[in-house]
Amino acid sequence: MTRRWALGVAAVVVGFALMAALFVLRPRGGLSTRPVSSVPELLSAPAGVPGAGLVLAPDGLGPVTFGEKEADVLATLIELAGDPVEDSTEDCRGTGGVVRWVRWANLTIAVEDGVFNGYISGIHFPPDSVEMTIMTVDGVRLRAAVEKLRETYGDRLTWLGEDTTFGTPVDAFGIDGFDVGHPGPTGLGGYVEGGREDGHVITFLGGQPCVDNGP
Amino acid sequence: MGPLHGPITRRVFLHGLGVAGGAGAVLAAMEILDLVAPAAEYRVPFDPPRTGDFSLRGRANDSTVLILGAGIAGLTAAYELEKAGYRCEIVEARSRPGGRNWTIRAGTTDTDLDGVTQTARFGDGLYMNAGPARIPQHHTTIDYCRELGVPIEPFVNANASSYYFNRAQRDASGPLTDKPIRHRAAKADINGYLSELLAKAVNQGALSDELSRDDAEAVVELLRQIGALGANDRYLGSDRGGYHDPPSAGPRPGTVTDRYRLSDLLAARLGYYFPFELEWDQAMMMFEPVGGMDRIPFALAAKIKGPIRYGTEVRSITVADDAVRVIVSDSSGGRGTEISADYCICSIPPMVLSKIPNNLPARTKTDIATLQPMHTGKLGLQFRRRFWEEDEQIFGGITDTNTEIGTIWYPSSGYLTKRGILIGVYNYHEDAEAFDALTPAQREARAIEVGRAVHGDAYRKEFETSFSAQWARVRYSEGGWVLWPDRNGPIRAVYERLLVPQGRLYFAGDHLSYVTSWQHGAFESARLVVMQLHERVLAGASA
Repeated sequence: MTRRWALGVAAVVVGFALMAALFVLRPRGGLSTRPVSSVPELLSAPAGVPGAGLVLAPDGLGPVTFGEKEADVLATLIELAGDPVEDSTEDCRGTGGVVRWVRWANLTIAVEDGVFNGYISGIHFPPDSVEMTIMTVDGVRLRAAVEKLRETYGDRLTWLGEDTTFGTPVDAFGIDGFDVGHPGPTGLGGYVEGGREDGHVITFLGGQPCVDNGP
Repeated sequence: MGPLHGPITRRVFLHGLGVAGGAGAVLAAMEILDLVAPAAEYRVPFDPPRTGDFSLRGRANDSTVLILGAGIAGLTAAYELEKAGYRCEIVEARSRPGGRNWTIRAGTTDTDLDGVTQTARFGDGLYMNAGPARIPQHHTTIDYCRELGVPIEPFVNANASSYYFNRAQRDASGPLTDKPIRHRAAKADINGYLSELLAKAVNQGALSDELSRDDAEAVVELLRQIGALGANDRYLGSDRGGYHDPPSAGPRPGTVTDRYRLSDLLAARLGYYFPFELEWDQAMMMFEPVGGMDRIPFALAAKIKGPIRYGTEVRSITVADDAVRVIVSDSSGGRGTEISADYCICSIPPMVLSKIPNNLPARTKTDIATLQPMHTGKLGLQFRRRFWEEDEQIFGGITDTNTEIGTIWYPSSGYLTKRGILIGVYNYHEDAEAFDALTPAQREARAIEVGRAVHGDAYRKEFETSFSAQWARVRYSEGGWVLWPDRNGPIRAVYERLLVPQGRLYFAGDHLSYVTSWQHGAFESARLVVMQLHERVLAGASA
């Protein structure tokens, strides 16, 4: 009887011990899952990249072209590049009008008389936003080597003179202006830093933004 | 006719060159300096979730949390949430915990985004920390080392015996370029000359409007100490710069090295390295875990009760009203599984996340895609002999260069042993981008070329093997960290929006802190998200 009693107690103790061990060692986590028949492919390029779809073209920025109405251009650009980070106006002495400059990171557009008429895209801008990768319509991007300009544009690449309203040669700053000879009234050009042989592109300009706002 | 034909106006010219923005840029940078958070604001007040938070309310918690990424932020989130009884599961694409906290040892194999596979052939017991490698004493990281029982040892972030090495390039010139200059020598001489000049100005009354007579005397007295000035308050060199012939016993009083010329020191631009050692996050004392930085994530992973699915890629994220559903698979895209949870914490780097299909709002997608990677890389070089210790008496610390390799780090452990691993490259920005385009063998060759110019032929003769990690090319990272522009500007809105959960989905990571690139930022971000989520669940439980 004593032995049977002892075995019973032992069995109860072992049972409790097993239950306790199972409780302590119970599997955790294991969230709800189900198999799926198809696995989505990862995107080849990031989604929602600001400025995606814009190109630096001699007639505009791809989806928006020079001469389009200000409101339409801004709406399109806000959709593609987000809200602008700078918006200012200034008098344009040459035309007697007012030019509006609207900037998204490294892209600034000019608006005059209610229409989009030029842009500037450069590597130097306030540290308030992230540089957008926007290439020219020919596939050249900011920071490209002069070699790339030559390779892309060949004889169409021309270096500009020293005709500035400062009365000081542009290259006194170690900067060279260039034009890539796109046909049409607006064109596409920019600046190179580091010389006409080994330099790199720091700015692209397109259109005819306020050409004479005075020194 | 192009836009630059005809007169170039001031506005177009300045805009084109960015000069108009330049002043703003400088001002903004200066504002940042003034706006560095004081120590008291350095940590988010953290009240870790506890089991009692739920049991005291008379109900058990059965909330589930799926965590994407087993880096420091993801692991910390799971570790802290489990304290209150949340059921957590972590999905991790790599076969190990840690993310960018990556310690490379013998046998470590990695295939980069270019398909190049490296296998580390380091000696037994040797390793390199390819990601974070040092811990400031005020970082939360130290608290976790204590809590997790991860032993730490000093990390030598500054050493008077290491070198400055500037090539005659990037604005550096003169006779002090292309040769290694000991930190102690450059510091002694520049401090000495600047002290002499300032003392001269004060003694001549040039600062009499700014200083009272008593203060002027006190300033000069201080300058004599700072600069080790000699007679007539002139700097004539000192033993701080080191010795040609160090003092010893018998007839060996020692011969102090000649001082360098001030103009040569200025031309070589050596003084620009000095402030590094004073930075809030870089000033000694610093630490590293014994045995490798990855001791931290491995310790965290060991404490986490819920499963961690390694080798599992996130293929889509769907945020619904009642749950978050994530489709995962192995890296080949096979065996797809949908995991559902009440909440999800995503610690995937934004550069990777932006390519994962999801149903997040367009604004959120744009915010994520806005974040750009810091290009940076490290390369470990194993040498069969610790010549930097044996021949040059450099025990830990960093040699700074203006070359493509950035810096050389000497190991802070294993002193007096035979072999050792140097960090032979730690570069950033354009230098790192250039390295991104090279093969590991090409990077190794560049590193040895520069190292040889600093340390001599031993750098080539004693070299054994290397391992390179250029983070923009590392799978599942695609960048060293996020390179935020000035967050006091318009980009702040992006930062603030990403701090807010998208329904049941939260974002966490060092990029969502003001301590980007440091593990501290990841710990703090995870803790912030844990509290936000826990408060939300508690509010629901109370309702």
